Amino acid sequence: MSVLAARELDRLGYADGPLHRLDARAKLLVSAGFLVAVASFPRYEVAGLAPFALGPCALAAVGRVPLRPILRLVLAASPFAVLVGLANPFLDTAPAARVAGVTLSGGLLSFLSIVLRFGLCTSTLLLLVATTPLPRLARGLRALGAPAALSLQLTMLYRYLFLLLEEGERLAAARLLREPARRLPRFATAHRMLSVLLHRTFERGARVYRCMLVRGFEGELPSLRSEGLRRADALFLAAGLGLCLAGRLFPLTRWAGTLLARGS
Amino acid sequence: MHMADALLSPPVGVAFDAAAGLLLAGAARRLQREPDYREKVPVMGVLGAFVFAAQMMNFTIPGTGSSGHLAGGLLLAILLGPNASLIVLSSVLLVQALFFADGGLLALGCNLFNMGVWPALLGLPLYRRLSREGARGLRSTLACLVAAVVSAELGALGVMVETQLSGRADLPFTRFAGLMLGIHLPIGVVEGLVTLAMVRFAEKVARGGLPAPGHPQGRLPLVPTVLALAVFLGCVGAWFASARPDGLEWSLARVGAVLPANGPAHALMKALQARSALLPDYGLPSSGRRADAPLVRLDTSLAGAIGVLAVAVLAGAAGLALPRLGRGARGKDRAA
Repeated sequence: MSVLAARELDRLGYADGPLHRLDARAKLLVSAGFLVAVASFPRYEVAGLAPFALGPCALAAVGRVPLRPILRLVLAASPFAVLVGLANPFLDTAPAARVAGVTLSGGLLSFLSIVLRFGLCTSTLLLLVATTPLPRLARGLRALGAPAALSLQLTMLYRYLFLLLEEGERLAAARLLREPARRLPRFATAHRMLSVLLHRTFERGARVYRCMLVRGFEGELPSLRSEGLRRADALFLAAGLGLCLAGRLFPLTRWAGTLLARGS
Repeated sequence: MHMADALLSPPVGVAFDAAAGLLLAGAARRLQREPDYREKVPVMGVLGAFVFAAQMMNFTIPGTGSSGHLAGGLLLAILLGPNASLIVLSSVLLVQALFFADGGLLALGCNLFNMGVWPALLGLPLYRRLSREGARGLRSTLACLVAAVVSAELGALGVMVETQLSGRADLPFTRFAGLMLGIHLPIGVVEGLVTLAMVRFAEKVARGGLPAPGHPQGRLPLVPTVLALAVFLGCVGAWFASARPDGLEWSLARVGAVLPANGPAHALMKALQARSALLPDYGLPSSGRRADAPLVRLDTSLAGAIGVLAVAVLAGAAGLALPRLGRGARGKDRAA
């Protein structure tokens, strides 16, 4: 179940380490640069994308993030992108490259490219949240100029997300106990379940509001933590963006290949 | 249906991000000025979580064999108003991209457009205008259905335009359009029915004296909306123009304009463009890859393959070695 994996990522975000201690803004900007660099490759590019796999691998290794939840989430989310890309090999059959005697069609290359891009982009985002708690990311977004309402909403959503997901899972479990033969509920049953869930949502919202008022809520959530760009953050930002740029501009894969081919 | 970063090209993604960001900033400003904003904050938070939980709750669609779930854009717009609904939906999309690998950061603007903007911009006014007062009777049922179907179809159109314009996947447009618009018709109907049921339930709860968000007034800020729509229409226009590669020049020539193509300024711009082009061989999907395009030469592609292998080995080695190094260092720390 992907909720379990997401919860594990959330827990990992609160660990401590060199990557966890970095400023959220620096990590957000480097991730954005990585995504744009990966997306900017032309459609038939496969080899040029390969060096970018070093990014998520390094993040996972330094941040001590286990691969299992990441892979599970990437796989669970993959159907749409893979299905959209799956038509390419059938439509674009013009030969585009020949590797070791096997001719590859353009469609196959572009399909591989989409799959590779998908893995790179999604795993980077998952690693971002596995090394940074969401409240810090929300504050980072605010510092980068996102509206205060969005940052606050993100924090509030995160606070209730797993609670309400659990509530929904309990409802689903109760339904399954009553009609085990049915894999999915009927429309009428789902209607009742959603109504119950919505009722509890309203109740919880009202309760939370009273509690927040008691604690002196004035429209913004205060934070004791002050975020400042330290030298390590600046270094990470410069190195990350520089590597993304280098990977985009230079054919690193071909260089590595030529080097190895000449050496042997 | 979430657009993924992998299917987008930077120009399309950034254009939609900019349009959505503008709209979001305007909506946030309007929202923060609303007198009951503080009261709305926790309700927005829990309703966002509700939409999340509701999306996980699949059910069988009567009459067909398939299953469906609530998407929530229209429900949020009706319960919270257009400005708050945009903020809530963008937070939901962000969390989905970060925790569930669904959607993406570059694709955030596209997804907000496909799932949040149309319900808030068109669905909600349609619903308000058609249903007049209260959510009762056949009239309001039809209003909700129309609003949901229109929003879903426009969202599907958005997915198609973004995919085609990015040129990462080459689905044949007419077949893709038929499939997407066809699938989104029942999706829209189900969305409308569930939304209506939830809105009626919320009204019942409110009549019973329990707190529930009512029917908020308010509309989206005008200028950002117009700008965002301009970006969307520009993308649609660019995509139609790309079907006729020299569409602009053709129409200019028809009007009688002459395009001088040899001057110092022209040469300078050409040089600048060649230097700054991020995507020098970026082709629009309709132009496609010609069958007579030259094959990539053997030695370069072989070098590429070897390079891929080398990088993979390097990445694997780094992944295996780095945690050990770190553990060693930590052990030393502990010993000291």
